[in-house]
Amino acid sequence: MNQDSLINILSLGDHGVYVWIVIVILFVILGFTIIFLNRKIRQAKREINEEA
Amino acid sequence: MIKKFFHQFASPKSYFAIANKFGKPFLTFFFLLYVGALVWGLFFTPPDAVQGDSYRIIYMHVPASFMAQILFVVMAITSAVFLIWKLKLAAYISKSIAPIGAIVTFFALFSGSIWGIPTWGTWWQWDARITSTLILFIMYLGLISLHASFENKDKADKFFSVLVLIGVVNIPIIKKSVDWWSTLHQSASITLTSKPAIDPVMLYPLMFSIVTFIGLIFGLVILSSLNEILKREKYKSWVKNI
Repeated sequence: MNQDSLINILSLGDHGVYVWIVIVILFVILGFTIIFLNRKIRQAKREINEEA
Repeated sequence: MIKKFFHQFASPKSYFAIANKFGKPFLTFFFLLYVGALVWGLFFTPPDAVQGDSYRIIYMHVPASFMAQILFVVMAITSAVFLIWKLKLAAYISKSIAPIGAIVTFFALFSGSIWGIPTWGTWWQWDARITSTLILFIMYLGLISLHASFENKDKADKFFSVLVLIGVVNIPIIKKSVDWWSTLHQSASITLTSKPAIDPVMLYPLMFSIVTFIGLIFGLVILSSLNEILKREKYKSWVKNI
C-alpha cells in the first residue's frame, strides 16, 4: 500500500472531516471520563486509607 | 425470599469486591473491541450510495443513541428495585448511571448534529426525535443536580428514584417519535419485526459496534459505581479493609 492510497483511505472521502470530528470528540470524551473516574476512585481510596 | 437473596448477594461490599476486580479488565476488553468495530466500519465498508462516506458516523451515533435510552431504562429498573426492596446498592447504581447517561446522550446529540450538516443541510431541527432526546439529556442533568442538592443522601435517593420512574415515560416517546410524528430524522433501520433496511456489509459492523459499545459503557458504569460506593460507604468498617 503506497502513501497516497493510505491517505485516501484515512481521509474517508468528501465528508471525511465530519466523521473525523465525531471520532476525535468520542475518544476525548471517553478518555476524559475514564481518567476522571480512575482518579476519583484512587483519591477516595487514599482518603479512606489516611483516615484509617 | 427475593429480598433475602438481594440483601445477601447484592450488598455494596459483595458488589464492590467483584466490580473492583473485574471492572477495569471488562472496560479495557470492550474498549478494544469497540475500536476494532470502528476500524471495521470506517475503513472496511463501502461508502453509502446516497450519503457517501458521511454515513460512517452511524457506527458512533447509533450505539450512543441506543445506550442513552437503555441507560435510563436500567436506571428505572434499579430505582424500582431500590424503592420496593430498599436495596442500597440499587440506589448507588442508579446514581452512578446518571452522569454516564448524560455524557452518552450529549455525544448522541453532538454526533447527530454533525451528521446533519452534510445530510440535512442543518445541524439542528426541532423535530420530535431530536427534541425528545434533548429532553432526555436535560433529565439526566436534572437528576444529577437534584441528587447533589440534598444534604441527606437517603432522602436524595428516594426523590431521585421516583423522578427516574416518572421520567422513563420519555423513552417510548423517543422510540416512537419517528412513527408518531412527521420528522426529519429517519425511522429505525433495524427492528425486531422486519428485515433490516441496511445492507449486511454495513449491518454487521453496526451490530458489532452496538454490542461492544454496550460493554464499554457498562464498563464506565462499573467504574462510576465503584466511586459512588467508596463515597457513600466510606465510614463503614468493611471499606477500611480494602
